[in-house]
Amino acid sequence: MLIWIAFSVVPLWAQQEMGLVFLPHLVQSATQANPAIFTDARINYALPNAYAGYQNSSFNLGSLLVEKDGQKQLDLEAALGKMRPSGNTARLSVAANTFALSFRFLKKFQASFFSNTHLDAQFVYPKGLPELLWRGNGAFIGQEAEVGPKINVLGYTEYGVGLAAKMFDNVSVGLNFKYINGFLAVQTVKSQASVLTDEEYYQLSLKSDMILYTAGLTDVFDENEDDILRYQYKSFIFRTNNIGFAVDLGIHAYLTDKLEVQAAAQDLGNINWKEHVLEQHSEGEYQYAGQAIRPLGDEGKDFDLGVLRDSLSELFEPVSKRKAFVTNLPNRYYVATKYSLSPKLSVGASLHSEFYQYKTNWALAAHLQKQVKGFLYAGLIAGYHSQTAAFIGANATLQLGPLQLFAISDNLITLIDPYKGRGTNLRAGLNLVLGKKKEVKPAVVLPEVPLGEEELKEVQKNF
Amino acid sequence: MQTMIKPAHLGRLTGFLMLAALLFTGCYKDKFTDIEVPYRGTLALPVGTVSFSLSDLLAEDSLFTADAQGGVGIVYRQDNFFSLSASDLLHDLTEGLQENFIKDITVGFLSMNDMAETLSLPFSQYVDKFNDPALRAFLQQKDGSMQPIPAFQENIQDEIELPPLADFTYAELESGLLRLTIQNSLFVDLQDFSAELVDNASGQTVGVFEYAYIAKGTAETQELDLQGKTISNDLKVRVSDLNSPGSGGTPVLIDLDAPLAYGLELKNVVVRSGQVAIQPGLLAADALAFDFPLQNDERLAGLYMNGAKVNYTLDSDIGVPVKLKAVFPHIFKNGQPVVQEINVQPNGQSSGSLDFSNTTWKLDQQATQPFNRFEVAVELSVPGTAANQVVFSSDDKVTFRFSLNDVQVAEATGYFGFREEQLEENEIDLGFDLSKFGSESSPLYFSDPKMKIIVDNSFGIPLRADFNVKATGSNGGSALLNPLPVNIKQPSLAEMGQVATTGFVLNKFNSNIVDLLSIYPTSLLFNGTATINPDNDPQALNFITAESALTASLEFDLPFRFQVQDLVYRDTGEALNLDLEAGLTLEDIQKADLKIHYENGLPLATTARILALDANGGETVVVENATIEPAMLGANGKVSPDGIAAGELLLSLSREQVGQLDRAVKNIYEIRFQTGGNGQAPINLYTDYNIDLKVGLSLTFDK
Repeated sequence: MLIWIAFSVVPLWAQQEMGLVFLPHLVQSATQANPAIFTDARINYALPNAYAGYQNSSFNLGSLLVEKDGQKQLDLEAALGKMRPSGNTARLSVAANTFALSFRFLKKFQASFFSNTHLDAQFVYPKGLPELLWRGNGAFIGQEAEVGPKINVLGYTEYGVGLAAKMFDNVSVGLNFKYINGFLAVQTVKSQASVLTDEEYYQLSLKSDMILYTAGLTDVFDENEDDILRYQYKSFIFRTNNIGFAVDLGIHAYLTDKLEVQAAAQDLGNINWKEHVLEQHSEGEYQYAGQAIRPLGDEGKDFDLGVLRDSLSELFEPVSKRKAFVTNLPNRYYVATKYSLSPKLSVGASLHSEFYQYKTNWALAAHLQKQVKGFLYAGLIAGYHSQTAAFIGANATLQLGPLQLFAISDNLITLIDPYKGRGTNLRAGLNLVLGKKKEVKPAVVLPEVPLGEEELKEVQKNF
Repeated sequence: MQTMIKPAHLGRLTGFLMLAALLFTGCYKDKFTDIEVPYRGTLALPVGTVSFSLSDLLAEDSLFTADAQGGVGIVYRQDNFFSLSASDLLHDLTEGLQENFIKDITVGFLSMNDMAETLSLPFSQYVDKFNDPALRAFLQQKDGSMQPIPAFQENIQDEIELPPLADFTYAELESGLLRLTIQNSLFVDLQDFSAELVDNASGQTVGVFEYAYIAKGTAETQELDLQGKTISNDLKVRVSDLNSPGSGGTPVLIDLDAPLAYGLELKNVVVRSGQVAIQPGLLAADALAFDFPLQNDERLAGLYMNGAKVNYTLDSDIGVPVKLKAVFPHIFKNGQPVVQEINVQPNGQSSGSLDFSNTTWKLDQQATQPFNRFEVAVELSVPGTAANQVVFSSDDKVTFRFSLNDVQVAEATGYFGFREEQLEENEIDLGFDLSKFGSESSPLYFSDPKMKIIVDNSFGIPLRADFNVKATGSNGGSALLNPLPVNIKQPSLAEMGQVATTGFVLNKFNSNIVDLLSIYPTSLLFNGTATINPDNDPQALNFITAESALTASLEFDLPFRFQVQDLVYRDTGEALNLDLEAGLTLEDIQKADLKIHYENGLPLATTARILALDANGGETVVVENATIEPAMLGANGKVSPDGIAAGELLLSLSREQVGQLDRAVKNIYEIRFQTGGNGQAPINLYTDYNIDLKVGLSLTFDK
């Protein structure tokens, strides 16, 4: 399964799929974005498709390289200049949609069944860490460098069932209920580490107070441990004793015949990790002032960096114990509005936020969506993400009979040139759709005289 | 369950996390290949500290002391750096006691008991030999009748054999009397009676006895001096003339059975030789005096011997068994004079051993020589009750040979002579590790060093110590102390058993101590002599007891006030071992900076060098003459807190210099000190002086 995921995931970028909410022709809009969205087709079946995302909050890859004598060299100086003192984040997410089926029934309801596997890795670091590694502690003489990183990894498979219902003619609500099977977790509960280089004669003071929870992993700090994953059975991705539940909530409404709004909350839930769980705790202080030499007494000793290295190893030597824990899923929220300029052209805007690991990211996007022909949907998206700055993306869906071939990204620049851009999302795959709506009827010319209430209902019904 | 975890294996976790990153970067692999990863960071690390105050050194090493003002010094004490034990001295003193002695005990003249023999002959035997037949007939016929007896003179030439004397067969007499008594029991007086005593063995006349008149019924005695005569016990009396004045006409009863008796007595006989009967009892007695031949005019008055053995041999040429009784009147054991008796067979020998352990010898009992002399009163006697005649000579003797062995004298009194005892050589390792001071260091002159020597003496002997001290310096040099001789106090006789202490101080005025200490001494060699009775006064009364001893202890009092021009401290340390790992090598080091933060509380100008020592012993200077300012002295000659010199040195090392230190087998740290005034002004060191050196190293890489 991992191999499958690996090959399914082309290099794509990050978390909040801002374009998906404007694509009701894709079943993923209902199963991955807003459960209140009624898809264009009555029956949708997702063939293998996947998602990948990447975020770097501080720099793009291009800023890590400089050209010298025709040779590219790693140079962190430019990147360091862009980093914040703390909270710099690099994040990688991949997901595979292994199964999705939705169908409409009784005209007012839409049911869906789906299964997705997610792997989300987040690395949060203070600027001091790469700066210490790159410039050495010589750049921190007289200063205390904060170097404690946070690593959070979340891997799980969700099994969901959804139901959307039209409460009124212009309002629909939806709910996805998810049963979650967690198979991999790394959660940094506490990460405080600092290095102080005294200006007097470079005495070193190091402090560490780090707590890390893991699940599904072996004791990765045990040098005698050869394996990484603890599971002894192959089906761990689909079934473990790490159980969670979550819901997606959504609402969609037409304020006018051209203006619609929607809002959704996704992944409101958590996972209780019980199987193969460990707490790794490293706490201590270490001060190194060199060797204290006594005159007329001591034998000469090496100045040996090994002494320092060994001491540091001991300082960061964690103590492990079994401990169950709970992780919240990344909670995502959005509100969006769309205005149809014509039956095949619409514009919109959306505001997204994500709350994960006690931190909120947000993004604001503008959308332009066009149905070019009967078989092609295309759109553009531009906006600003709090972690990846400005972005511009696109989506395209090729409708070949009942077969949909689609690709969605919210940052084309990074896709085209990985040295540029600080993140993107990409989802791509195939869907099978049945019962797609007929060609849109010619627009009804509304009478100039305002219609009565009964007349207006008749028009909307026909529309 | 809590599990302790070994050092981190972060790489695996990192690898896992990077796996996903590699996956999504896979399509861009071509864009990320051929990227160099340089490193130009700077590592700043503390190398170490050299921080100490002199009070720290004081606390760590008992050699160092502080005076009331906080002045630092060394007090070094060495007990028993030389000693003289009672056994040493007694051995030298009493080895002359172990001598061989020989004395002859001569029997001398032998006094014999007085002897007497009596012989009576009837007058008829003489009448028979009268030459006048008429007279002879008259007397024979008128025997028993009253008749006047006419005067007569008859030459009768009669010989009368005397009975033998019992106590000798023959004897050469030294003296004696032979007394012959004539008892006239006849009926007429005798006149002009003559008797010749003849020795039948030699036929010689021993003597002639003449009696002018012997009245009837009386006895007359004549004596003969036997001095020088030799007689045997086979004697006879030869009577030549028998004369009588007659009865003067008065009739007397003629009785021819009336006897004429001869009484022979030997009196006061002293025999020089002969075959005599030696009577049981004392044969000879003598008082023998023995002198110890001591070589240094020692005059021993008394000894107490823990152990001594007398091996003796008695050779006798006396023909009878003898017993020698030896009385040592002035040698006491358990409070009693020692008495020994030894039996010797006739003309025989006797040997044995006598135990004289735990004896007290008084050698001063003879007024003429009240020292070194002991006496033995010997008595030679014949045991038993019966006397046998043996060949005897007054020269017969018993030779008394003895030797005094295994002498262990515990105590001695007297005058022990004027002589020198060699003090046992003793070398003291001072325990200073001065090897780190370079041989090129100039002499270190202390301003006021003192060496205190304390001698504890329980010998009752005037002593003068003439010792010397030779110091060996850490760089092989040597120097002599050359102190003056010193007289050692001793306890008086009344203080026997007590210790007299002599203390004296050697300083720069009475010895060479400044030069001795200037060579960085590591050891001191003591030797010399102790002169006994240096005044050579024989009237002095010395004594030694078993517990007597002389021990000397030494105490250096070395205040650290000194001057030095160039005190070189060299220490060897391990080579720089950066062991960088992480893909970095020494070749990647662009430069290195040694940062030395110093606070110098010592008023010593200090310069430092770092040298690299290669495998062939070659030295290469890597860091030259880094100078640390000296602390400033205040008006009181002491560094105040304001006078402490503080600063930083930044020593830049090139990649090549770092390489030299790294490639070196050892690194040598050479620090030179100099006191003020170009080394001519002395300084004091105080406990609150301190040095604080903090060394950091920064390495800038260019890879």
